[in-house]
Amino acid sequence: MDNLMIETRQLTKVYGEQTAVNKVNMHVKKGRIYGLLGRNGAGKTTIMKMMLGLTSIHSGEAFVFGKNVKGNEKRIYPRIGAIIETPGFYPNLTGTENLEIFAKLRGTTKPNAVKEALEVVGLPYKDKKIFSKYSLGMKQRLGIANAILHDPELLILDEPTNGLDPIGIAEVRKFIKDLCVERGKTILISSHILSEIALLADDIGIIHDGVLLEENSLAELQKKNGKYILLQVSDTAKAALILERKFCVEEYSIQDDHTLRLYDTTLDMAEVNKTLMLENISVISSQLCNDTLEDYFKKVTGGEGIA
Amino acid sequence: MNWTLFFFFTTFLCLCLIVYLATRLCRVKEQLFFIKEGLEDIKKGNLNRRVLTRKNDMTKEICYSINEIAINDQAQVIRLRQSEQAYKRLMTSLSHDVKTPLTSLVGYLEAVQKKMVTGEEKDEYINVALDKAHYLKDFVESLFEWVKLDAKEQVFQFEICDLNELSRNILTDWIPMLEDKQFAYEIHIPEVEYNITIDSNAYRRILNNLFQNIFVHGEGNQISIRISENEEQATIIVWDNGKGISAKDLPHIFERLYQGDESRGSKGNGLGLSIVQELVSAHKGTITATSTPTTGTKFMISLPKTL
Amino acid sequence: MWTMIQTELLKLKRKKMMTGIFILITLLVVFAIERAFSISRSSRYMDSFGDLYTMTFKNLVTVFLPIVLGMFATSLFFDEHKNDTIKELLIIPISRSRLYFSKVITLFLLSLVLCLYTFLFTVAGGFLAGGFPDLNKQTILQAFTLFAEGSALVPLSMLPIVFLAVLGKSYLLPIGATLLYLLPVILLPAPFMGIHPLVNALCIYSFSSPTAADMVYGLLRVAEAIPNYKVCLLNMGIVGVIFSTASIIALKKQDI
Repeated sequence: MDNLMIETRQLTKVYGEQTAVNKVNMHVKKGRIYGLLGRNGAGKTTIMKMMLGLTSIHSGEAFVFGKNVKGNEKRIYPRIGAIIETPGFYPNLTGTENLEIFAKLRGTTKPNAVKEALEVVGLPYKDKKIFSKYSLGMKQRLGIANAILHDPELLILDEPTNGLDPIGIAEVRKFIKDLCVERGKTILISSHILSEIALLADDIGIIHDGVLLEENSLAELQKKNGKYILLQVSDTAKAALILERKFCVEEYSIQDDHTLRLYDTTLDMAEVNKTLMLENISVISSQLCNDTLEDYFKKVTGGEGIA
Repeated sequence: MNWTLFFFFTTFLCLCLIVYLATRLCRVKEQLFFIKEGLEDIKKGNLNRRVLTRKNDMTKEICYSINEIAINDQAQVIRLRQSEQAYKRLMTSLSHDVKTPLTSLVGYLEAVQKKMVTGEEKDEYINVALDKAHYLKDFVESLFEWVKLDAKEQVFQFEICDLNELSRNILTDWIPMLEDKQFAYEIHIPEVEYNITIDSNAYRRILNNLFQNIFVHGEGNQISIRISENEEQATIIVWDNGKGISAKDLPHIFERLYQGDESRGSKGNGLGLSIVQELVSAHKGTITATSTPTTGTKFMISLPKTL
Repeated sequence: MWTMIQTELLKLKRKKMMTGIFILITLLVVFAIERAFSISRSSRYMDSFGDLYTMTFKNLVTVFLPIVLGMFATSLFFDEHKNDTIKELLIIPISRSRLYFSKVITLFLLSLVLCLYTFLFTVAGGFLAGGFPDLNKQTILQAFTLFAEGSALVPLSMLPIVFLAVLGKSYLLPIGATLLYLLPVILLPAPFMGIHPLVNALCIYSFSSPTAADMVYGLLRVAEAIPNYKVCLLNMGIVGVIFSTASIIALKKQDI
């Protein structure tokens, strides 16, 4: 399909006797942020490495931009920016020199790409400080600068916030979001932290022990999230009035002509139903939703949960 | 003998030259292939596509120009898409957030009209309905203000004025309200003149919204405002001792219509802080919130002295 | 390719190893020149310019250059792993064979620079010490040919060590191997003629000038005829191709 930036078919990786990645079918849509969620060692990095040709593919195929990765490296990789694990740079060179080496090898899209990439991540251009003296946060920033140096269409980021302090994490998060929203990039990001992915991603893939357990949009998943009672009635205006007057309900919202959402889950629904019936309002259904996203992931991964 | 050597030498040089030129030609041919591929992709509408080039490529000027065109077009497309989305958000907002109070308002009025209530109860119903109507009016006003800000249509009138004087004026209006609600307050504003480029109406709105937020959501009884200034920027810290914001909600509070789980429903409209953030960023400033649940919340605004 | 070699050179900036290498080579030449000053021209060991330059040359090609190049090759390949930069290079993408060749060419370039450096120093030393009756254009040209041959043949014979560096999980293996590799050349070179690339290189030098031949026979401690230079060259070429292929295959199989 035209809309898919990354597609994997039955992608598998076997290390000795251990299957690190097991028949993964992943679909990353254009212009969206895809969050690959799984615990450390679940196979996230291996999948990304296989897409980037850093690790051989045991069986199955990976398609990027609709082309098989194998044999099309020269046409695909220049359009990808990636950070896999911690970014690697030459410790004896300054940040600018490091980026200039990569710019030279890869080519750039504009004359002063290095300077602009450094500005974007907030590092000084032509600074004297060599890479080995960089702090972890600066290293990570330089990694991001290198990943966006050639203005790629697709970014593959493996735990980009690993090892950053809370402020740094928030900055990187905003940066990634902006890349997607304001510059139309497609982003594949992996993390072992649910809240991190929930804040960023549009689509989520949950991987556990090398198996992609579920792939869905966040909006779809969030419908399953939250504590509320869904009440379907014939007349919402009247029902709202009764709820307010008789049950002192203040926290509710009206979804459509027949659906109310009550946020107080301690309400005695039997009583509510009875009262509404007495007032000639028919209750079509009432349903208690008491699942959080965390609970849901616990269920999906078989009770162990994530993060 | 010398002639053979000379001949040999020239042949060798010529060979070298031929090899050099051939590799150059291959390189240009390869580059032309990439340019063609890139252009076809751009023609199909993929404005994210870039053509990479090196500093010593013969085709670099062409590639730079192609990229520039693609970047500019893409920026325009994204701007259009954003305003489209702003419009969509407005529609969703109208349908969801107006519907709840409106429906309940209808419920009250219907009850009155159908004479289901009489006497004092009827008056009370009418009062409640009026409150809800006022709330709706305020909400719609805020919503339009927010939409204007979101779409960057708001025109600001920046002028140089004394921030300390301005802040004192705004706070003077709040003091009766604070005393009325039995809030203990502390105000630290330097007794000097501090000239800053600011839209005074926007600034008033920022402080008003923050105070409003504290009254509606904070549930505290103490409030403090502290202004400090240096050469580059002014920092305004507003603090209250209310119930605070949970770590889960904190990253979202500036998002439009986000209300912590507990405050979903009637109080507040979820736009105040979002408007504050838009206004602050229009001044090229930043706003951050830190909070510990049950002990209070601190908002910190930094505004640059000049834009 | 040229861009890749350029970046390989850029990567060497501020490397302590490079200063170390140049200090080492300078010491070697300074030692030789000191000999030229202290030994009288009437002595058999220092009565011609040939004696001076073959002394530096044989130290250079049998001990110093192999060790230096072995270390250098190891750091070229191993550092990419150590700094995790190999993955950044591969996703550019740079093919593994291009990566290999760019590094091998850099190795040859360093060898060339070091040999030229030693050559120039030696000639300058010869003039400074003075008293060499045969210090003329012809002998200088002969010395130049010899150093040029050395600069190409030594890195060529180091390709097996490069293979180990490519496999490299540590510095230790290739550097230890370099020393082992050198052992027969220093202790007992004669039986390895036609087999060991470094010994083959020695054989080839002997064909460039009578002075060089004297030096080689002295080193090999043999009187009988040594193999034809074509045989030796072919031999070295085969070893080089085999180990280059092995290196590239090993690189391709590597999981990063």
